[in-house]
Amino acid sequence: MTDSDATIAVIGLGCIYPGAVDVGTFWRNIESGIDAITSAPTDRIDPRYFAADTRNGVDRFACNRGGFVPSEALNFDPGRFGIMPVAVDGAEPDQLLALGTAAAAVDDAGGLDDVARDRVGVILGRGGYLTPGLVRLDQRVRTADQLVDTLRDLLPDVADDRLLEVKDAFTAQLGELRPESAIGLVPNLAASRIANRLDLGGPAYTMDAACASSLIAVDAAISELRSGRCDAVLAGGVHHCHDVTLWSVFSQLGALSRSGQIRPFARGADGILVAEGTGVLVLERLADAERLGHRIYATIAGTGVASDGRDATLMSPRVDGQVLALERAYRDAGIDPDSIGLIEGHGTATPAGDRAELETLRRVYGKSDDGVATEGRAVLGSVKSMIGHAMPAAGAAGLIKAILAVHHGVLPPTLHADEPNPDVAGTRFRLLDRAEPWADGSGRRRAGVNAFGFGGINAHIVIEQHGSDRSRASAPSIASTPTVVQPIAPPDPTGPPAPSEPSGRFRFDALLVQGRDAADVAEHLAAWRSDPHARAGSDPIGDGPVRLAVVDPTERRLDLAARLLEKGRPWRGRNDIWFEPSGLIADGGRVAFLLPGVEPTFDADVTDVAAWFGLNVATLPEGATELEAQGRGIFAVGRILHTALVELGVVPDDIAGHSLGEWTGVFTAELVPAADADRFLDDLEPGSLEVPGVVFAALGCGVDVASEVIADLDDVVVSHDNCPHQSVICGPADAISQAMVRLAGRKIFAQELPFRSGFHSPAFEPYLDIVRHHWDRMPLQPARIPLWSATTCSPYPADPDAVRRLAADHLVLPVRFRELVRAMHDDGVRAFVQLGVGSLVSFVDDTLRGEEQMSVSAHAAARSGMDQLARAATALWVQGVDIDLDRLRAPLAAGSPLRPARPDHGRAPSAPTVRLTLATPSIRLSTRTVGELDLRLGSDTDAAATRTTEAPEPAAAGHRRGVGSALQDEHDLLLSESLAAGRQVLDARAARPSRRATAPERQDAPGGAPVPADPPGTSTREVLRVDLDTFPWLIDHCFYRQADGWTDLSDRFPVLPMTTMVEMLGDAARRRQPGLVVTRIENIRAMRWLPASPAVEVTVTTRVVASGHVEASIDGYARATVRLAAATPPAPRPAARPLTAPRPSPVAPGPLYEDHWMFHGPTFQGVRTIDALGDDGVDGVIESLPTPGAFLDNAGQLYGWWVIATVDQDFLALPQSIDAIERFGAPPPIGALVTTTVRITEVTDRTVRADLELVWDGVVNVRIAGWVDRRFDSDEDLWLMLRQPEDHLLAAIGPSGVAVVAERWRDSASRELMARRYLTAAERTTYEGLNPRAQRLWLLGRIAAKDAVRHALWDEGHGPLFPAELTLRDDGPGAVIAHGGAADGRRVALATTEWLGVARLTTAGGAISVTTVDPAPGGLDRARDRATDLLTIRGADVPATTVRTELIGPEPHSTTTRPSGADLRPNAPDDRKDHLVAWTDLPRSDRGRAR
Amino acid sequence: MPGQTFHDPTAAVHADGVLADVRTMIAEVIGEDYVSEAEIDADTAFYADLEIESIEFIALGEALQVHYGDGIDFPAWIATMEVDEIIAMRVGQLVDHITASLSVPADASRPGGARG
Repeated sequence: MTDSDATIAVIGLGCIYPGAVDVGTFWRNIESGIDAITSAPTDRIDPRYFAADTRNGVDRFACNRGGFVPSEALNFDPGRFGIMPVAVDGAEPDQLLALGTAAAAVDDAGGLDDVARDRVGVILGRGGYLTPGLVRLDQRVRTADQLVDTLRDLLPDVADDRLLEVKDAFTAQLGELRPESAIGLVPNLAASRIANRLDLGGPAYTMDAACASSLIAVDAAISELRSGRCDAVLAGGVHHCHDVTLWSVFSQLGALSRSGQIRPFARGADGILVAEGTGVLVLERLADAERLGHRIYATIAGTGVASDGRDATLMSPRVDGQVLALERAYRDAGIDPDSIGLIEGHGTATPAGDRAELETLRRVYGKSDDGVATEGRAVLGSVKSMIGHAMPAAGAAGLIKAILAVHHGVLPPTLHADEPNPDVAGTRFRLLDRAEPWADGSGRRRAGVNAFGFGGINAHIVIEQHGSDRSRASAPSIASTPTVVQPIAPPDPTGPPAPSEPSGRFRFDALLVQGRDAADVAEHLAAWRSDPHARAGSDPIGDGPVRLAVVDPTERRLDLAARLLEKGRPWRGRNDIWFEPSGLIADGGRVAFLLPGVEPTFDADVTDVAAWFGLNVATLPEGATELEAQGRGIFAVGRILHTALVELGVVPDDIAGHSLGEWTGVFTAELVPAADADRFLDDLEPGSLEVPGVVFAALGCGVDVASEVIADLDDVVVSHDNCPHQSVICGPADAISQAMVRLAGRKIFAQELPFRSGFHSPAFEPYLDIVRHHWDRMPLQPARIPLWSATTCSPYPADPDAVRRLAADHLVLPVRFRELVRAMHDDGVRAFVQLGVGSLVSFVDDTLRGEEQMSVSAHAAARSGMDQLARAATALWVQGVDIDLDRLRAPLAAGSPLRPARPDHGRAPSAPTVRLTLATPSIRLSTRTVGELDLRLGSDTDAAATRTTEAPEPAAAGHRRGVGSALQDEHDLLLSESLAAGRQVLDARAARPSRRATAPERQDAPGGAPVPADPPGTSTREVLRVDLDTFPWLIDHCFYRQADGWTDLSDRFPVLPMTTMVEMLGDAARRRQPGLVVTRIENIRAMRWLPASPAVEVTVTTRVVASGHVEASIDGYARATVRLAAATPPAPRPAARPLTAPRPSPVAPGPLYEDHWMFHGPTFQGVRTIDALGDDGVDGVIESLPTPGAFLDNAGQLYGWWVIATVDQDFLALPQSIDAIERFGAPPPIGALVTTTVRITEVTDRTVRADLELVWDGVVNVRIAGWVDRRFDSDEDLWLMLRQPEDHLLAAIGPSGVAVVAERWRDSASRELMARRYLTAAERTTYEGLNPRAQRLWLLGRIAAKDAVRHALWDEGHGPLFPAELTLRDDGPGAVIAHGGAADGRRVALATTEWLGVARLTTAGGAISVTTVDPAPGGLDRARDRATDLLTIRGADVPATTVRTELIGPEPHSTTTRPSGADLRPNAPDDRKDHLVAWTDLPRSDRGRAR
Repeated sequence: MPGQTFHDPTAAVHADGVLADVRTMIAEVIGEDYVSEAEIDADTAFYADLEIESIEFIALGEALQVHYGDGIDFPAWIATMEVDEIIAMRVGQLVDHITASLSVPADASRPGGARG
């Protein structure tokens, strides 16, 4: 073997280390002496481990500092390596980091295209530490069971299935387990993946020699090269583990620096700081490298490895072993150690480690020679002083440093060693605090690198300057390879892509005139007007920089244009005229695209635009009013308009969005690759992010006034600063109402907005994690066009993580659109183009009133898409944009292929990346999960204990009507017992403030002792669990009746009545003011349903304002002000005015309940007589029932009955608020009959308001003022379905048995009403798992199918059947199999459109389809063809002859009663079209014959 | 002719002044050039003729409010109208409203609320 065969060349380097994402940065940091040590990011190490409590150093660390790779280093481009993004989740992150680093090193080496791939090896040092992927797997496999075991030991009474729920909840936090994940954790894949993805055929393995791993990997690589088995080897180390177990090891050894600084070879060095990183070297035989002309950084002259043998101990490294390694290296290299100019020491900065290493240096290189001046000495240092100790990857860091020092001729500095370890003086080395040039006067530069591992494994490598560096320019990086251009057109989810027909209606009709100046333009205009022949065509007339455009040039407009040309001033858009004496864009102004966010109404339609430009477009949801549908809509519209404008020649210089529009901006600026944009939307489901309880109001004033108005309103913020005359506030509904009253007083416009996203307010904060999660998984690339943020009023940052942060965080921060527009204008934007519906143009105009700018919308609901797009293009043409007018004149020729819609701006795209996760956060269950699990330690369990105590009050059963059956009696007895016990539970719970009580904390005195009243200012919080154990009587207050014996209570939706909540609030207040009685409860508001199944934990808050004045709330659900006094005031005489036009009630109290006019069960059935119904109220008698809240609820039932019996529609009315309830005297005894009068004071579209008097013993006992019921959307059909679902259908049944159901609920609340009516708990789970658009269609299909089955069964004589009694299971696309009783096994084909569901019982192979009928001529034939095609797609490969069809009119709605029912008028929108249903029953087996 | 559509003869003299005020304020909001060309009179439609937008309408209301003070309540007046009415509104109607508001006690001119 020749000498140059033994010498190894370093031809490529790649690394990521703390502070450095690549070799270039790493070297610059080293040269400049950058300290890359930081505090541990909280997502990497839970801060709890740094708590001051330093009990033992095992699980609490005295120092929180270390070396962490920059977050940019975690942006991994899976596409480059052909890795599926989903596989990234399952892989141990270090494998992918090693792959990326190795690829960078290969790139750096010029690509290795001239080396046989099957003779390239990979050897990486990697330890067996607890890396992030393993931690997650361990938590899932072991910790979850350990948790259950511990809970079982602590809580032996808790059932196993509950504990398994805990386990499930715990593991659910770990995310989805994919089968392919497990293999991703196999440690050697760090090397194997490199060989696999880079297609290398040499040996590829990881090896572990602790801190010496990297150097020993290089030593092994050199053996491969010298033996001739490999022609090139990738060698180095990888370590990405900041696990607390590893920190614990060093903490326990006392080797973790307490001072938080790693100071190798310094006096007072106190230990290491843990670091991470990856370094890879590409090695080749020197002879080959020279022959191939590879760039050579330096050569490796020799290596030496030695173990300490028997003397090895962890704590005191043995000098003999280290010396042996060094001596072997110099022997191998044939080099005199004296010639070494730089030693990269191992430098752990532990006292014992440094001492041993310095002694080794003294023994190998000799003592200091007093004759040599200090500056002439060789240099000692360690890169650990800058990045910490990267364990198996530490050696590669030192090696790369030394190689580059030799290569560049620089002696790098070492930090924090101003005062060197005294032992340094005993060597012939010195430490540098700043870089020095490395004079190469005395031969080649040589360096030695140490690495000494735990257990006594020592390595040394000798590096030498390459004599004749014939480096060549590195080959172009793979990273610059263009990614595949993807069309941005969204896929059509409902069928195969089919461009809609180009609309024939649009014709570009604008007069375009150019001239030298306004007068010249005027002349051209006049000439044109006088010459009728000139009027054909739309080519610009004349020539010159000054432009005029008149869209649809009527005589009136032309007159106006002539007049304004005389003035010569700009005219921007009014009356469809544009004139600019000097084009804003021609003058150098920039064009910005503005992407709108959510609007009160969304009626964009760009189908004609898409057709014109040959773009594929998904059908937009009709009449989309939901946030989700609109989110998709604004996004799709934005993309299509963007593409169309670019096609026309309008290329934006800047992009900005308003609210959610900013996300559209992220996609149009191509921060996210187009191909991933749809995935983002599919995953996100913005509709599911709606925040309950918060309201937006748009105000006709600026942010200053808005802030002033809301200054003292809790939880209200200014969410949008749109322009000087519009701001938006966001907050709880009642506070917003208050603000609106104030604004009305100030004569300022204010309007509540119909959507309740809570965006841009803190109310959205709880939902932000979901959004962040989505953004973390989004691949990002540099923006092709600058995207401006309305949060920062400046362009988005370049750093992908900062982009992700901003894209998510902007949802809780105010939209500063006014300032944004101002900033963009200041920056040179002169033309603002709005890409969708909305008011952004107005905002711009209002903000920049009087400034030089033009703004135009590329879409307007009032015009067709092409009409408005052409206007925008025309306006921009006037400003000097070169519009491709031909594209406006003719649509894309028929038959042209779909075009990739992505504009190319000539900027090279770079690769999209996925964010790797190194974090191993502690598993925390959500509060909700904790509440649902509800495991309590024994000392806390009062519910079970209390339930067994005697009920103090006699079970009052007197109110119940005599029902004969013993079963009923037993049921009643059980109920009354549980009722009394439950009531006691309620009292006991509420009386004892929970451990979660907030300050000022109070404790009631032990039972019996007098309890002092809380002083003013005292707040108390009590946590109360609401479930059917605590409130068993709620089984009688369920919205949905189900079949007898139905076991799943959540299907019945038991809800706490508002009156019960009022009673709870009164009781809570009374406990704060012992000795007083409640006299008056006022300002009562119910905010949302409080269902008892599944269980929920609520907080009851009371605040004593003054003696006898308590504010009480069930947080988030209801609140009231409670007044108390020593006694109630004297009872007044009844005072209700007589009824107007009294008449008997059409329904008596018995049928009221029996026929389900009221949903209430026995313990809530207290209406005894309905004496008279009048135009303005109702009189009756109610019985005082023992059920908490039932007394007043019965009064409310009487009130509700008036609404049902009197009002035409929307008669489903439920309590919302009460101004005041006054009490006089003691409550009537249980069983007392109380005369109740309800007097209606107001009926509005949405509400009914009434005053009530409850009279007992001749005097008023309770007086209620201003009781407001909210009216819910309800017509006869929906009402019947709520009352008697077992006997009614929502679907209409056509003559051929097709069940047709139209969507008549326009908002999600109404949809939920029917979803709960039709779906079982299990089906609701499926339903809730769908995105909102899919939910709509899925629900329509299920309703149609269930009704088809129910109808068929009724025809066969089956009895009543609730929708929930049927369960449907998918049977391929477009079909389900029904299960449940007589329905078992029946097959139903179903299909849906945007708002229609159809279903039909069929045989195997049968299918159904539904399609819209175009009213234009031939529409029916086309619909038939399409319907047949759809059947084919559904697998019913059928000849046309077997297809049967039925036409559904525009108003398909009716309710079918069993056995027959009235055909009720639907409330479908007017513009709905006919639909054609097609089906076939052809069995699959008949296919061949039928053909 | 301006003023001919007014219903309240006692306010007629006043109305010409109001129309001039309104015209000035429209010019402030949408720009002098547009107003001079559009020849604003009582028959001028805010939407169809002036192409006024909602924000501009609010800005106009603010200007009127500042000009006339508490005597008028522009937002409350608008609140009584359907969207279609607002879209079809002509300058004369606004002038009518202002003159009517200014010629009777403020409270009596308030539109009735939706509540009955």
